[in-house]
Amino acid sequence: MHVDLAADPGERVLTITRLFDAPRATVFDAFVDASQIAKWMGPRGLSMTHYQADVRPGGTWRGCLRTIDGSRELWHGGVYREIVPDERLVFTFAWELEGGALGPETLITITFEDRGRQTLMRFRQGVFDTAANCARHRPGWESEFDQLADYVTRH
Amino acid sequence: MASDPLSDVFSALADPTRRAILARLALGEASVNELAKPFQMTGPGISKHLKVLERAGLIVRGREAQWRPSRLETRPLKEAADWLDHYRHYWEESFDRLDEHLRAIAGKSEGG
Repeated sequence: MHVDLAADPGERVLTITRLFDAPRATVFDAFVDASQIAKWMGPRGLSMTHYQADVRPGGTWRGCLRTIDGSRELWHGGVYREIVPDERLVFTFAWELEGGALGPETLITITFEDRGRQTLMRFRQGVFDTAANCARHRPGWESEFDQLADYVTRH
Repeated sequence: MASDPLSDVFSALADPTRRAILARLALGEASVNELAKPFQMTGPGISKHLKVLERAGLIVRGREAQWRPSRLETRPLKEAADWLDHYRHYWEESFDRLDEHLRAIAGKSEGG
């Protein structure tokens, strides 16, 4: 096990930076156009069989990933918080647990910058740790992540 | 109070003193006094932090009244790390696919 205590785990967030070989507007479109999102969002081995998004502040998104053998459907979704065309996208993300309740909610912030003809994307996903958010959570996150581990990390 | 364990872990880790306590306990168990020394804190001050860590399941405290050694519990830390791994996997692969998708779009527009 590797746990890096020195790396400020209290600020533990997932950050990913990627350079895409496409203009900024094209990349941004791929993040907000539901028909495009369905083509790329989700790990390999899973297909997005359903995706809908109401891309405006307060609007919701919801997607369903199906395993190749069709045995499981993983629903997830959230709410858009901020949309600055071609620049910035902020939305929440949560897996739906069995019974329809939501698992721990996380906040995703994505920014897009020009790098010549390419686009630099900075992605950040973090935990909400406010008391109000804790109260909305329910026990069972462990099984949720077991489920994720089974269907996501093993592909 | 209804709360989810992962949030407890993350909020417990959000404090530099508590992280330093965990780093110290990674070397072996220690008493409140031993833990208080390097931080120039009082016993009660350290005890407060230990309570938060204990509630998050990050440490276990001995039962002996005088010497209540604290011990690091690694499982919640591993779960917190796993949480990140799951999402990293989800997005890294998504972005690989996005990269391919963008190339396909570019190819189409150049060809047409």
